[in-house]
Formats: sequence, C-alpha cells, structure tokens
Amino acid sequence: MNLVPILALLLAAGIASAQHGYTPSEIEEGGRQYRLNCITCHGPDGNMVSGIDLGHGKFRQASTDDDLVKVINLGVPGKGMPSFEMPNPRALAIVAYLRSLAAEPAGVSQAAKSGDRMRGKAIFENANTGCVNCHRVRGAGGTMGPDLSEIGLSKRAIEIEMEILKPGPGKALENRPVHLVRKDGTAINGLLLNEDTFTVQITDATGKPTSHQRADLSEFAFLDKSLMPSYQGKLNPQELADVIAYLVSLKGAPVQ
Amino acid sequence: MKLFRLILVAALAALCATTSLFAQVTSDRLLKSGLEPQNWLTYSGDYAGHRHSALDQITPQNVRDLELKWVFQARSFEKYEATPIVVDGVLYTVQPPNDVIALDAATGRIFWTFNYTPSKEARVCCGRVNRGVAVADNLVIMGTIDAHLIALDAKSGKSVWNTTVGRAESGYALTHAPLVVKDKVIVGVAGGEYGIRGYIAAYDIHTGKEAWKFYTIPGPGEPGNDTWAGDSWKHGGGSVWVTGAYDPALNLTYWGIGNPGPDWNGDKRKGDNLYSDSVVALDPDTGKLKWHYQFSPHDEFDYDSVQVPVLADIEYQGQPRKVMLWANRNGMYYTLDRATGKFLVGKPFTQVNWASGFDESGRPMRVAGKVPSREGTLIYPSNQGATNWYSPSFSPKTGLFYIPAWDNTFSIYVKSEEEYVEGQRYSSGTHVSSFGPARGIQNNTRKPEDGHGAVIAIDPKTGEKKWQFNLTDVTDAGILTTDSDLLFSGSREEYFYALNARTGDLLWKTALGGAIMNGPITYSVNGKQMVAVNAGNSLYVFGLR
Repeated sequence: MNLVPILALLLAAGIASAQHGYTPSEIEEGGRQYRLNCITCHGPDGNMVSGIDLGHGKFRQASTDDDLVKVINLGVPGKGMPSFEMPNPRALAIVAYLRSLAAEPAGVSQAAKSGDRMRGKAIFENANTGCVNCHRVRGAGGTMGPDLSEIGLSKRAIEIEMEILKPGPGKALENRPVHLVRKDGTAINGLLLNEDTFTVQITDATGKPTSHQRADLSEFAFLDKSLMPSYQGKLNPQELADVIAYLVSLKGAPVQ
Repeated sequence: MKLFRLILVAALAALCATTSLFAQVTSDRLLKSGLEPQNWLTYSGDYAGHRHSALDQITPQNVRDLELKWVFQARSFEKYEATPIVVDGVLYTVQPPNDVIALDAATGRIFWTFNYTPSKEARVCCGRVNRGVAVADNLVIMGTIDAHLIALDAKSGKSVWNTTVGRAESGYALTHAPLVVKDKVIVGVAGGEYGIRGYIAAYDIHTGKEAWKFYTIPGPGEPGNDTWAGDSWKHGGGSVWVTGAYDPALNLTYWGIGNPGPDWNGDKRKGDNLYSDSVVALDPDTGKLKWHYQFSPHDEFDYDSVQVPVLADIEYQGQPRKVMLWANRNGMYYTLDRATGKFLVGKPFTQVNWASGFDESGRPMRVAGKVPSREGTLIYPSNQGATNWYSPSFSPKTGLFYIPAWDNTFSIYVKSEEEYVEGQRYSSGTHVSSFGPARGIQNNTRKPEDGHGAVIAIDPKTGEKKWQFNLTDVTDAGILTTDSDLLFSGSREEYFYALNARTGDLLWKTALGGAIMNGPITYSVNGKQMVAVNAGNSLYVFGLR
C-alpha cells in the first residue's frame, strides 16, 4: 500500500479545520461538483474572483466548513455569488475539495502564467513532441492516454504540470494502466475505465472501450508505471509553460 | 328473554370475531412467525434476527429461472434502505425519508400512501433514511427522522397516534424499524454524531404513551456513569439505529449501541464509556438492564455496535447453548451466551490492528499506539467498519452465520478539539479512508490494496471461516438465506445475486443498475415464492418463470 497519496489526502481533508471527516471519494465527488458548479466563476485554481482564493483558504464570508456550506446554499446577496441549493453532503463534498486544494504542495504553477496557449497548441500537436500521439483533443489524436478535450475543467495548472513532469498512476484514481490476458492468449494493455466482481471495462490501444468477463481472463494486473513518459528536460521552461497554458484553456470549446 | 340473551351472546361473539379480524398481527403471530413463512412480519423476518426463511420453492437448481415480477420506483433520491414487511399479500415499504406505502405483494399496485414531511429541523448524519416499519395489531408503525413515532391504521394508512420521541433540533432521530414486543413498541434514537445522550424507549401500542426509557449512557448515581470522565456522559452519544432482537423464553430484548461521542477524540471522556459500542439485554416489560457486553471499550474509531443481534441455539463445546452471534464493525466476530452475556468466542474476520486478542473476560487487548493522533494513525478496519448495519443471516439448516463484510479496508484517524454545540456535529477529528460511505463517481476505480467487499460464512462454534465470496467493491447489502440453502445478497456494484449457502458458489446474478442498500426478503403470495430487494431508488421483486 502506498501511503503517500493517502497522507496527501489526509492533509487535504483539512486537519486544521477538522470539523468533518472527508474521504477520498468525497473529495473526488467535491471536485466533480466544483467543476460543475463553481469553476466558471472561480476558475480551476479557485482564484479568479478578486480577493478570494478558494484553493488557499482565502474566503470573504466564511471560515469554518459549515460557513462555507451556508455560502454555497444561500449565496452572497449583492456580491455576485448566487445560491446553489443542494443537499448538505454535496455542499460538504465541495468544501472537502476546497480543503484539499489548500494541501497541494506547490501552489499555483508559475510556468503557466507566462505561457502562450497558441504556441502550446502547436507544440502539443507536433508529432515529434509526441503528446498528440497518445492524447486526443476534440476528436483528433491518439487514444492510449486520456482524452484532454476538457482537461481545463478537471485539472488545475499545477496538476497538469506535475503530470507532464512526474507522471504517475497513483494520483488519479481513474484511468490506471492495466494489463490483461485473455484465455485464448491475447494480451491487451489499456486504461481501466471501470470494474466489478464479474467484469472489467478498459480502453484498448485503438481507443475502443471494451468489456471483458473476468471468467474469460487468465491474467488481470495493474501496471506499476504510467504509460505517460516524463517530459522533464524534454521541454524547455517556455515550451512547458506554453503547453500548460494550452491545456488549461481546453474546456470543451474550440480555442479561439 | 332466553332468546334475547342468545342474540346478545351471538352479537358479542360476532363483535369479538370482527375485532380479532382487525387485529391483523397478534403478539402470538409475531412469536410464531416461523409458522407462516409466506409472510415477512418483522425487520429481520423473526424475533431472533435470522433473516432466514423456511420457503424452499426457489432452489439452487431453479434459481437461474428467476425473473422480474414487478418494480416499485420510489419518488425519492435518498438512499432506499427499508426492509419491506409482508402481511397476507400486502407489502409495506418506506419511500425515504418517511412515506409509508402499502402495495399488492403480487403485482406492486399501490393500495395507499401515507405522506409525511419531516420537520426542517431534522438532522441525520448520514442520509435521510428509514429502514422500515413494524406491524402489530392493526397498525403499521414508523419512526421518522424528526424523531416521531407514528402508528397508522394498516387498512387505510391514516394516522392513529403520533408521539414525539426526541428533540430533532438536538440531533435526535429515528431511522430503524421499530420492534414490537407484546403490547409495546420499542425504538432507539439515532444522533451519535450530534452529541446526543442515547436511549431506548418503549411505547404503549394502543396509545403511543411512553412506558419506559433506558438511557444508553448512565446518569449520575447509576452503574456505569463512572466510566465517563466529568460531565462527558451528557453528550456521550450511544445511539441506536438498527432493530434489536427478542428472546421470549428468556424475556429479554437485545439492542446494539452506537459509538461514544465525540467520535474521534476520547480525551474528554476517559473511561470505558458504557454502554457505547455494547450489546444490552433489557427486560421488555420494564426496560431494566439484565446484562451488557462491551465490544469496543473507549472507542475512538466510530465502531458503532449497531448490528442486528442474531440469536441461535447451537451446540457449544458439546452442550446445547443459547447464544448470540455478532460480527462487529470493529472487525471481530463474537459468540456470546445470551442468557448471561458471557463471552465465548472472539476472533477477527478481517485485518484488525487496534487489538491483538481478548483477555479471559472477553475484553479486547489494545495495541499500544493505535489511537487517533494529531498527525494521523493508520487503523484496520476502516471507519465504516468491517461490517456495519447491513443485516447478517443465520441459517439453522447450515448452522453457519453469514456476514456482509468489508475486508482489509483502513482509515487514517486524526483527532482535534471541539466544543459541544447543540444540534451541530460533535466528532472532534477527521479520517481519510480507503473506502467511504458512498462511491463518489459511478465507475469503480479502486485499488485492490484499499480492500474490498465480501460475503463471509462463519462457524459460530469456533469463529472459523468456512468460505468467503469476494467482491471487487465493498457492499452495503444485507443477507437473506433460505431453507433450500440459497443465500441472496447484493453489492455496491449493483448486482443482486444468489450463492450456495454451503459452499459460497455463485448460482445466479442480475444487474439492477443501482447500489443495493437493504437486506433482501422472501415471501409467498398465491403460492408463489418471491424475493424482494431494493436497488438504487427502486424495489425489485423476483419470482420463478
């Protein structure tokens, strides 16, 4: 068992505030809800509204977890924050996610701030750099890596930077690389989408989602290493900044 | 004159007959529920908590021929945890949080609905849930999340009486199915995460008037109060949120008690904190405590002993013995003598690192340093426990005890300081767990090393595992067994499945598209055996083709 991500999540769960116990799944759900409800105004890093930095515990109207839930539910009249009536567990999950942001090690990526997204797009799509060979954006590109068309909605700049420089399968719960062998001898490497006691669902090298009965498999194993190579030293700081700027801009709509 | 007397006697006799007809579910019927396996009269199917049925029309040979007979879709997105009750062709369920619905058990057509809107002051830690109703006399009785106990006319669904059991604003709530013993309705209060002082109370079935109250946290001058430092007993938790059991021969009712409060920092409540995390044996007529056994003294891991007490008569060390079987959230399996509370067997059924075993009295021997800390302490099993409220089953046919288990899950516990504020959470810490109370995303992407779910069969004589059926994800589903050696259960993976109760081999499964969060039941209507289970927000009923 790798305790490092768990301890990171523990820190993320807000030891300082510590009013509620938060689980990784709550934080995960909170991230999803944040992206659905909050990211448009507050941005992926939570710092797009002046005077507020949700990712670093800087709030105008709240300090405790319960305060935050109230702000989410009631809004802040006259200040542009609408009310988001939702069940308390969902609001608390968002709070869990916000607390988790504060525990991220390196804060906001500095590289991203000086990047040029159009230059980054060109680097990303350059076959020599290799990003596009594995990742798709709006229907174009390879399929062995996650589709990045909406990566700007789900990852913050710092997270993207870490994934480019130090890719690892441990951090993201979804899309872990797996290796399976069918009883007819066919070996398949792919990314895990879902699994249960009787079946597994993966995307294979062609990008096609496939479902397999466990009874038909002679082997099913998680690969220790990410299939993603590290770009440490392969991109200069400006290129890195440009690629990050491009990826952060990907929110499911065309780049203007 | 004689003729007049005769007419009078005949009229009185007719009246009595009518009255007894209306008294649908007599105390005698509840005592002898095993004689009418076509019905499912109590939360666990009988007073002994077996969740086992003598019905045997569905067998290991024909279980593959099960097909869906009808579905009831609840108009609610809350977790659907209610065990249905079936009486003479009528099925009663609770649409969460607190709508009681009577349906035709053969077709699923609705007879009546009792809508209830709980007070906005209701606060429940872990979902606006209800686990089912009780039936007795001509009443259907439900506890509500705003701590009311409501009796309905079983024929019309109209309210007969409504009693306030606790103060909702302070966190008191009722979530479990009541237990009716003789002329009393027995319930316990939830609210262990809000600093309540828990109790079990009995109410007159005819009037709803309180008959007795047993505090699960003893007050000053009562035995056990000295197991709480200072005034900590006032907010010591000790909630009750799963239905108890009853032994008519011993005239004892048994209840599992929840965690002490605050959950994760016991510094202010030094001592064993009785009767938190215990089973208590009470006289159902008076509420007097006969005995108790504490599974987790001075708990700081939220290990509620809120499991169904399962009463069995087995041969133990060559002698017949009245025992109680208990798989605890703390990871240990127990066999206790249910007449005296004497500890007989204790054995871990999953990875446990907070205790190394038991002393002769049955007290767990703690492992040094395995307590919540400021920096975090890794504990097996996880905060959700190695099992939880999900009903186990005992089959008198196989002699085995079946546990819905979370195997090898863990939590990292961190403690903090907190002052009690009425109506607010009072837990003094946090935890990060390999599995949480619900899956955040719909896909299962957990790692094997985070643990997994299982159905585990245990020999109650020794605590030894007989077999284990592993699941990839954890499970919130209870277990049903039948005389034909079938075992039905579900999973968070949304399958409903049947195993061979003797071997654990998979016999049948179907994907229902929603997590199963209740215990399955079986009943018979028009001579056809049915199996009912909740999945997602619906109740599914299966029968043979």
